[in-house]
Amino acid sequence: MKRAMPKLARRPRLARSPGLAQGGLAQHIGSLLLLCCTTLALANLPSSDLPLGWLLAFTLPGAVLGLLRKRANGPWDRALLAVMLQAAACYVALKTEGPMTRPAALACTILPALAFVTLRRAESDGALGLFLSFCVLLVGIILDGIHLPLVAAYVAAASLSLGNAAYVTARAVGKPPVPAPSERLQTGDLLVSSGAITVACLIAAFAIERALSLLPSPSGPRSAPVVSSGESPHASRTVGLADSFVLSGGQSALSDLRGERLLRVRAKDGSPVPADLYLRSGFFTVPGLDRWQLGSLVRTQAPEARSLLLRQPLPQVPVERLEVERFAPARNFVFVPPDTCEVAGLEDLIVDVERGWLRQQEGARQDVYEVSWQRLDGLPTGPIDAGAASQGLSALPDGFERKPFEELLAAWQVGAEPRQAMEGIAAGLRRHCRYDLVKPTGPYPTAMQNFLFAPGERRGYCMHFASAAALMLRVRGIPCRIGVGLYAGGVDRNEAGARSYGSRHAHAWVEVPFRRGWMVFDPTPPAERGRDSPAAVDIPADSEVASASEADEGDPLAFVGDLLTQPWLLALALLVALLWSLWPAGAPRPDRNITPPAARPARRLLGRLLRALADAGHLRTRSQTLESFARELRKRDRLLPEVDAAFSTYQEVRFGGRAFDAEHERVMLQGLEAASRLQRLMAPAPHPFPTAARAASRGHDRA
Amino acid sequence: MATSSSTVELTLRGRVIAWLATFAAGAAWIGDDNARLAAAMLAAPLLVDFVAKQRRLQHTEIRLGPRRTAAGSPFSERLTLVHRGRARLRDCLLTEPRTMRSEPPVLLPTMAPAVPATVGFRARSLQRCHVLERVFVLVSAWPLGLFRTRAVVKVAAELITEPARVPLQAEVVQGIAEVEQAPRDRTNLPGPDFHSLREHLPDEDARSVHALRSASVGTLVRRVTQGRIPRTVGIVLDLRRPPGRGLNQSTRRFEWSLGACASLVAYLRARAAQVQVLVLAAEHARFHVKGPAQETDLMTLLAEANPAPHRTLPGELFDELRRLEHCFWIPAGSFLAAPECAAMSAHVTIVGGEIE
Repeated sequence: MKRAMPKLARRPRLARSPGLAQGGLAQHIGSLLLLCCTTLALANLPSSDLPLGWLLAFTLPGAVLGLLRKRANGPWDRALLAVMLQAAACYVALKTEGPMTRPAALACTILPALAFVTLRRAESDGALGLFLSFCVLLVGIILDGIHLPLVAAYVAAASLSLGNAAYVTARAVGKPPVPAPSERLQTGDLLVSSGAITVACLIAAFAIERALSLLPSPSGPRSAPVVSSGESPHASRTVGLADSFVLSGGQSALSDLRGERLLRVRAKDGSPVPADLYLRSGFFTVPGLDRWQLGSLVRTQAPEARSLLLRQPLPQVPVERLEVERFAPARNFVFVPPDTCEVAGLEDLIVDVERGWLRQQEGARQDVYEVSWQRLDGLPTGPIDAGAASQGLSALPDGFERKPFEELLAAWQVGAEPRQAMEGIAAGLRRHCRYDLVKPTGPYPTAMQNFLFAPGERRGYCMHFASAAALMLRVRGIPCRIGVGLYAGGVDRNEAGARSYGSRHAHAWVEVPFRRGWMVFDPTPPAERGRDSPAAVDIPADSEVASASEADEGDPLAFVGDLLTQPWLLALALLVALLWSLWPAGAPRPDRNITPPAARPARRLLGRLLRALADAGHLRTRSQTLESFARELRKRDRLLPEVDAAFSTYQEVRFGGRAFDAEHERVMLQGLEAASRLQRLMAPAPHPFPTAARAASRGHDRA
Repeated sequence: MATSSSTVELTLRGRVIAWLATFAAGAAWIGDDNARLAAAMLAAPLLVDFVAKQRRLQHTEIRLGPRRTAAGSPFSERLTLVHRGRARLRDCLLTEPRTMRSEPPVLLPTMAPAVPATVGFRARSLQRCHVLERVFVLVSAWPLGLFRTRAVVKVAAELITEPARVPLQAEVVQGIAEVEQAPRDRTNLPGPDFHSLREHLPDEDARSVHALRSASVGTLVRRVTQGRIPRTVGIVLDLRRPPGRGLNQSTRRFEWSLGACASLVAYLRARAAQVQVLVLAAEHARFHVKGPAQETDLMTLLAEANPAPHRTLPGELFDELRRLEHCFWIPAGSFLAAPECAAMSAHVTIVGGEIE
């Protein structure tokens, strides 16, 4: 029989690890996390710009294709199906929802791809889906501002997704060892570590965002970070010129207005609330180039009756009724349209009826009240209210220089007729200044001067526009005041026709008193109205206003919270974390030979035995083991059998894993007794340094 | 032992995110608040991953014993690791480039600091070698996979990879066997060994017929015997290169020849023969392989053998081999026309002479 020749083994191909099969659950979790990120990103899109119909039109076709990817025959078939589905969806959405705004339409171009990769679940879709969802999230932020809970949830989900991807990749590439480790231990550790990493990512994102605000911008002073909720009430949030505008009277109109949702307004007759509704909470009458103040008020306590009449409604003008629901941060503030006739449903009101100023006492409980108002925009304005001058609505700041303002007004061809003056001023400001969420900068000492007269680009936000317009109107002899409150809002997601207002909708405008009522004059460029308002701008803790007086009178927690969120502190913490991680890792310390707890009683007895032998003149040196010490004692003919037995017993307990039971203890005690007898019977060997000998013996005991 | 090292590098995903974060930070610096938030969201996982990265991987203690294997043969390795970092070691891949080129890396279990863990894995040393230091690579991308820590850990452990055994032609081995003789008693006496049974042909010697098997089968069946191998066989392993040829040429023949020598020694030892091996290299070496210890020494030498430059040798070097009944000459260095081979007695079998 011919022996078969053994063949040389061919070099095997690189084997793919079976770890991927074991990571099936992890892959499902990864898909779920991606879906979560996608959902959060889509939820962040503004429903006012992107109604549900359009959202579905741009996501459902991609989602369907992702689910049906295995059934489509080839790439051209899939492309054709995609085009058909998308076209049909867009057609249906156009018919039901109407056209979209251009920014929203541009933003929707990535939604089909996002939906597709989210549901397709191919190997590389995790990273691509995360990137696309991040882009969608950014689009939502650009369109509608920051919704902090959504963004935080997205950061958490994204960090979990990244961690899951790293986990799956490690198990796909590597092979589990033999024997395989315990799954339960690994799962618990995985959950704890994932949670810790997620929290760390959230904190790091917050810290980096605050630290980046410290970067000096080449375009001018940086505005403070704009967030929509969750801020500490410690730093007063005010609306004003520069970054400090105190509303006098001790009750700041918007200082406590902080929240993603402050109001929900709905029409009593079910019709949609107008998108251009101004809701005033306060006003400023005393002018300034850097700050405006409230002015004097005639405060009265409203009657017990729950209805307050502010003015008689004009005949033949329809009265509209609104129901205003306040949420926690907005309690005690009363928001009313400028042409309000009646307020009902509130008790404990403090009012100045002539000026239209309302507040509710603290502790009042009503959350919902009704407002009756008339829209007077389209009506002839009529003459200016004669009583306006007595309210100080024509006053100019002390030391005010009229000349530059006059020159500007002349250049803009602004006359004295109120309506023409307002239009001229608005047009002039739009040409002369630019809207930006920064305070005006320039060579002049006051913000208003910089806003109007600084060379180069003049920038400011709604408050500066309103203040400039008010000053100019007063220069032309037209009385006016600055109104502050909320404007525009957003479509409420939970209730059709209602609108929600948050601190990001804070706005400032000018009100001109006509006999028929207050007329709203908004000099802010129309495209910028309704943007994230600087009313939500945070004041740095070291600003001249935010301050000491107002801020926090003895709340240490709030103080600590404020301190911990300071940008410089966070930047420092980030730097320290980086340095700590970059610090070169030194060599590890060698393991100490620590006596296990079970052998410690034996160790103590051995220590006493060695001390007794040392006192008898037989000192064990540091480098000697027990065996070599016993040999030396044997050479000196001093090794008693009990001592030898005690040494052996200790070795058994310490290194042999035997329990230190009564028998072992008895043997060691016998050895100790024998060593003590040795000490009594034998003269101690002369030692040049007895004290050092005892100290060395104690040191050996510790070893 | 040479020092170990560790590096932290960006993965592909980390690089993409880092670039995006840089662009966003640039936009934030210019003055866009939304870009600042984007930069923060992109930079946060990078920062957390970098800070939480598992360092001190190069201080991981790896303990394993010496290993002897044949080139290309799989073996199971077990080693003990002790993690010396501050925190637990997670999602760490272990690989030894020398022996795990065709095997996936091992995913280590989560390891607490200073707690030994034993792992086993399959490995295969593809190249003949004798090294005193084995190099392991630890790679971890935990927690977020944006940075990767790679540590090279060098361990003082011996690895001997013997030459791969090669199949030898039947004529090479059977050529030294005794010619078949008359069947003998089946005792421990010298004589031909039983090999197999086959049908008896009419003209053959009937004394080799196996009576019992023939009766059971119903046809005449005869024994085939194989001659015994001589008690001592000689092998000359010539590592010298021919004159004028470089040391790095013809590595294929060289490796095959070493494998052939190893296979031949194993074959002869399996048949209770003693082998006298003379290795002609820069310095010659003699091995009288009588048992496993000498065989191990010879294999170790084969594991670290290299081609030698050409040199002439004194004739008396081969005197002992000339006294043997049979000798194998393996021209590992491709020196086919060695005069020493020609000067040997007629009972020389050249192994691998046909390989170019």
